[in-house]
Amino acid sequence: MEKILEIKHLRKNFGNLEVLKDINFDVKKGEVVTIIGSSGSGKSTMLRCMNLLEKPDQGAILYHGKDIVTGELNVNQHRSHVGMVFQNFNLFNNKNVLENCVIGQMKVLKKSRSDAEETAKFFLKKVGMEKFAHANSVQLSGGQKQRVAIARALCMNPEILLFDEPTSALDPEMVGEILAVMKTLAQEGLTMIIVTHEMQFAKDVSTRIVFMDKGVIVEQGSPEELFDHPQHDRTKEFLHRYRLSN
Amino acid sequence: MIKKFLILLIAVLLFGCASSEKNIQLEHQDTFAVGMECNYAPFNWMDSDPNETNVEAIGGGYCDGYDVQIAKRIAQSLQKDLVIYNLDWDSLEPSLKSNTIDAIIAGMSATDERRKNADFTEPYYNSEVVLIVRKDSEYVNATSLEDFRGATVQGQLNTMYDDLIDQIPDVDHDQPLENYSYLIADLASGSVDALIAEIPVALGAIATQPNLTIVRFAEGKGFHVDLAHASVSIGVKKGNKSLLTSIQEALNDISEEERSQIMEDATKRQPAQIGDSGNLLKDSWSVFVKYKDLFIQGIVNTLIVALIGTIVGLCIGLCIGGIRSITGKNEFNERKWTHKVIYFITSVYVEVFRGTPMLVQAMFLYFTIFKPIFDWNGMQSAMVIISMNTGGYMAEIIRSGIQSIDKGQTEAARSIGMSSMQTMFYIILPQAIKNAFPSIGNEFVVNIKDSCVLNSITFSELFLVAVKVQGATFSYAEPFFIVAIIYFILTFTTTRILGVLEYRLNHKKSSYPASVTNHEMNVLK
Repeated sequence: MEKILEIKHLRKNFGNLEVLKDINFDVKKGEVVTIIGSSGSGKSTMLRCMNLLEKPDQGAILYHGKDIVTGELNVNQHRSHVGMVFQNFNLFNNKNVLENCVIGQMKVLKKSRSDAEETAKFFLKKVGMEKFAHANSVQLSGGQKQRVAIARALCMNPEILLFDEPTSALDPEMVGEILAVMKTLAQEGLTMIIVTHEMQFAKDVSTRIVFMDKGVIVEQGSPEELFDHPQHDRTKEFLHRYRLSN
Repeated sequence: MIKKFLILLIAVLLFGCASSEKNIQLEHQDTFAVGMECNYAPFNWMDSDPNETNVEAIGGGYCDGYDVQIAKRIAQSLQKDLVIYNLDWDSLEPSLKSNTIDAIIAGMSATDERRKNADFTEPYYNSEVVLIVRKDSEYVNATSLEDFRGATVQGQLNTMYDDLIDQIPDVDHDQPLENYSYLIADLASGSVDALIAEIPVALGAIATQPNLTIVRFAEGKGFHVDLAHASVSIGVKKGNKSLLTSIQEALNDISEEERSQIMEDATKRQPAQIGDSGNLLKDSWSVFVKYKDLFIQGIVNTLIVALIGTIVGLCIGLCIGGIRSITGKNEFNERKWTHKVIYFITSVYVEVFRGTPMLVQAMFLYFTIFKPIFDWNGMQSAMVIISMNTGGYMAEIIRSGIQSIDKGQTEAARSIGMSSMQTMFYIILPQAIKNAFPSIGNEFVVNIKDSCVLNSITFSELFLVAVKVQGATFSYAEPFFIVAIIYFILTFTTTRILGVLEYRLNHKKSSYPASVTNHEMNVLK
């Protein structure tokens, strides 16, 4: 299977703090990779490096073999192929639901308004938000906002979709609706990289689990391998703590 | 007013074109064009309505006074029609140079400095320096400077009269003031004992202030004055000998007695203090009614400049503020050396315009660049200065508006591939403007008020109108009371309107689906 995204010897520091230490990682088409690990392990930073929201200090990030860090591939072009869903939704506050989904298509993909609106309505319907097309984003609940945010990312027809703790800022009763949408997308074969603390969801949906700790990838493998037969002590400890706290 | 302005513009253009070809052409024309400031009673002043003695002036109003009557006599003798240009004091000499006017008859003294740029006739009025005192004062019967020993005396700022005060022995030379309205107010209130003036001005003052009188001095007992400074002459373009001679001949035909008579009549005619009922509201109303055209013009000018200044300033602010946000330190570390240079240049602009008073900027730019190089008038210069000044403030208002936007907004826009410019333009700025709207509106209110400092570059806004009316009426409280009320009405109304706009902006129409019942929403969740 073709590698879409490949990370080589990635390093990132915040001041004196070494957040990522020599990360090597790749994603193939159709994979659903979930990154787990305790807070501060560097998983969000790694995700944000994949579309250069954080600029790596060292290493290469190859998209179809072209390095985005050195500028071999235009960063804006790269980002339009790699969607991102944020913990805090980040809907454009000055735009209504439909416009949130339309603006990127028109300004980045240079689509006509009618095309863009058609696509937007299609994906809003997919996430169950078509009735709210003309509502202001500030009027929506967290779960509704996140569904719109997913629709907005899908409208760009991304090759990979990055999820940065998409349910962490939600009330517990709204988590389900987001996970349901994500599950549908996974089943449709969309390539996804997910940072989450929802272990059951990770186990159900993922094709591969990556466990990170203190800036390194400790262990990765299929959900069964990692959850049921973890190799490393740190992984065991993390999963153990997790089970206890749940 | 616009019509008048257009006529003036066309007149000046035509006249300017026609006369710039050859001086001789002036001779063929049947007009005698005279410039004066129409704000120096009793030599020249402006009436709001026509009468038998005044002359309609190009540039607005009807001019009357000693200068106008003398000009009439000269025009008669030259067998030409008199045209009067109502010009700023500072533009009199340039207008003479550019052949817009043939002569300056404006109570102007032929100083050595002015003789470099123009030729002057013999004096057409010999002034006398006197002191004005209160009728109930101990100095009423004084006859010599010696009698004023130890008195507190005041004069007009930057005039030779103020310098003369020091000839009084042991004098307490009080801080000079800008115009005679203030000086008379000081004298009437008793805070000074006497004020120095030339006789026509003094006569005018006592005509409007019945409790004041003049102290004149016997020959040799009064002030020692250089004749060139105490007399006034008519100026013509340097080298125009034939006109100078003709005017001099015409002047010679007016005897000393006639001149005194003309001055006496002018002093009697000059605008008296309007409304002395002692009731501020009533008097202000009379002043306002009499000069309403001037006040309305002032309101219009003030609003135009404030509005244009705010709009252009906002545009400058959006550009500079946006650029500074992109080129300044940011989370994305995309800062090239060009960014640093641009950031530095915009910083200089912002810091200079915010860090110096607008009055200082206005004086400096107007007299070193706008007037000499671009030949802009007060209004044009005022618009540019207020725009640039507002731009400096707006840039920081916009920048702080931008900084107030959650950085998630930028990340979301960048994550779908929008460039930094697109992100700024479509996502960040609209929100920043909305957040900064109260501050932006506040700049407009500030501009309405602060445009008053631009009167110093001859921009005829409300404050300058008040000063002019004050000069014409010698009433010091009413004009400022009127403009205070006007300013308040303008700013108060503006504030209300901005409040409504702000409400609208924050309650943008949206169609939250009415069809979605609570039940449905729960299902959706």
